[in-house]
Amino acid sequence: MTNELSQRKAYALLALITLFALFLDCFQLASQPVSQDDFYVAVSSINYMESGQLGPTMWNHPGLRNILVYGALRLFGSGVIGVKGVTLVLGLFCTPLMGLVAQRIFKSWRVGLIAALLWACDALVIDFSRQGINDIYLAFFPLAAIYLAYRFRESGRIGWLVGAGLFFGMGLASKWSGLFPLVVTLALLLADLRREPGPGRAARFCQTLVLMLVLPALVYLLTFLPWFSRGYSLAEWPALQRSMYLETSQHVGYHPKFWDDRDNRAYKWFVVPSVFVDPFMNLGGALEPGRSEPDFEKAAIVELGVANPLVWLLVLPAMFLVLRRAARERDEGARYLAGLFFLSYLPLVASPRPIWLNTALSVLPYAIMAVAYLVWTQSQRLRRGRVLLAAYLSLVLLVAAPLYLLAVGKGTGIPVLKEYLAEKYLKQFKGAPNAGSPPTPQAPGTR
Amino acid sequence: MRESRPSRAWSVCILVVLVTALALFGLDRFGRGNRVFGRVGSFTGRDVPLSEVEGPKDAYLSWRQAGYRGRTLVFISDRWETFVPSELLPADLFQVYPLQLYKPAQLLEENIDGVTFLYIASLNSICRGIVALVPQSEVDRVTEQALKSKDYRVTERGLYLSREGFPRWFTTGPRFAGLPEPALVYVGASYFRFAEPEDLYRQLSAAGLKSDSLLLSREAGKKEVTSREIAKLKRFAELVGAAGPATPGREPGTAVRHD
Repeated sequence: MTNELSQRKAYALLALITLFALFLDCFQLASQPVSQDDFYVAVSSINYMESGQLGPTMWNHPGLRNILVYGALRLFGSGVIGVKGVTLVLGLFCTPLMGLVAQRIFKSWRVGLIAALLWACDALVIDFSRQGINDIYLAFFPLAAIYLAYRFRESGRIGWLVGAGLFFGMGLASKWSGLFPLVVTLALLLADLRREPGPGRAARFCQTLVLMLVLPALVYLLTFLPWFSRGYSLAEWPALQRSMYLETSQHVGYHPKFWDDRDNRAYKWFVVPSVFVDPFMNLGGALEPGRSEPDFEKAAIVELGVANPLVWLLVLPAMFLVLRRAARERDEGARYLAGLFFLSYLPLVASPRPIWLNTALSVLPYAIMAVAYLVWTQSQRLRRGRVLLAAYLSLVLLVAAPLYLLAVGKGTGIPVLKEYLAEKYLKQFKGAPNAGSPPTPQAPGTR
Repeated sequence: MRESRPSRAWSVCILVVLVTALALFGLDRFGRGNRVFGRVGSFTGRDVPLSEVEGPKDAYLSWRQAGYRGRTLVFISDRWETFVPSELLPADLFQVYPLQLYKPAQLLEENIDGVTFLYIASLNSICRGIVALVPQSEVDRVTEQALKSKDYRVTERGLYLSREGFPRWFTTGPRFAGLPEPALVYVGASYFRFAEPEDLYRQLSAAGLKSDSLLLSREAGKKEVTSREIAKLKRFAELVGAAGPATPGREPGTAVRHD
């Protein structure tokens, strides 16, 4: 049972899992109603690229999403591919990257394949691979960069390290939390250099620092080009960064929420079942010919990114196992994964502001890799481990099936659930004289 | 891992650092180069290009027509109006693919009035920052509101309060310390409910303010503005001295004065 898979077979299985992810990410995507987030992501991209102005939505995050979405809109128009195409592609490519990175960290294709499968069927991953907003970027760009950093370690070819720097830069230009995996990967690469004495070490040390710090910073800076086009000088840029930082560090949401919104603490994610709630109204498909009033029941959509408890609740025990391996065996991969997980996760846990579950996508790749390692190693220790592993994975898929329906907004199509979800999350719209206008916060000093 | 040659590693370092330095320099040049100025005059020199307009909408159209871009705007009036921009955007809950998208900067131009014109000027890149010269009571009111926001600073020069990263300063005439670059200046007649034109002229001159467009707005329709304020606005115009209409160009002070 411990014999390792052949590379060819592993790639074939990874391709199959990726096809499965493609199906889950694309199934009935065009018929999924447009959410306010999707709409404003598209409008914000136009606002940024044509006016250089951040916002109207999520102005406090760097502007790479605006650049990519605008490009997709220009290429494919304002249909579903134009609006969601970028996240769809990045979300999809996370699946093979999970496999490739986990394989390198644990030197096991089986762990890599389990990680890819757990990732592909996770409801939160699917939810955010099918939306225009950029949380999935925080999984893709660091994963791609880590993969390239490993390729550099394997071959020594500088091109891979340049690629890693570029992708880390794109992660930073998506959200600042892209910094955490960069720091850990830099530490890994510098540790490599420490073990390799010899002439030229200073040069390689500088090269690593420049490609992993200066190059990402350059990419980050360049994504502000549209903002500079408004006439701003470099001296004015730090004030913008300060504004963004102040908003991000104290952010409590862009709009008031009308449901119980206390489920926004990162420490709970892997301790109790967690959910990301995204309710919205879309009256576009609800206005039937001859009717002046939209059908509330048809217009109410609730997308729920429910964390699969069979995976998420194993994260902390799995990290314990990874830490134990890191300490006992001084295993480099385990140390690296522990660094990635804890440096990405603990700042979110310590944050005094609300952290919603969508942010977990910046931590989830490392959490799922640890779970894959846990289930694989534990299955090896048991007499009927292979059967138990298959049973566990089947159970995960079984639980993932209803969660998938909730993640793609089909929960409101289930009779009993529909009433419950609409009542719980959208009751402020029900019977409202102007159902098309959500309550707007009165922000002072708007001009 | 195959080791790269030291000389190659150094070359990579130098190349990336050089490209970064060039990018920093290039972005700064690019930003500054996108500012569009007209013929610049100073208040002390009494050669500021000056026009009179009926109200904020005309002021906006005047800036737009002149092609100003990337400028600091000095807004002088009796009040700083506030509104919620999202209320001006169309209802978005009827969307189906393909989405009916819009450019906010263009769309909001249909809603220009005395409340929205500065916001729309900022969206359309006419200005990249606003300095509001308002009565002390108004600075106090805005400061009180600013306490609820995240990015603000109160200094002896006044209040800094950004909105979504857009810089705005609030101060009074006596505390106005000038600007390092020529500004677009809007003076609303309502300001003279609380101030004398001679005082404002003295304050702007003392601050060394330069401008390529001074718009004197009668603020028609604003009920607080009476013939008394209009008369003061005219007195202010006489103090400044009419220097003719503004002519936009790429650099400040490149055009000659039109008498």
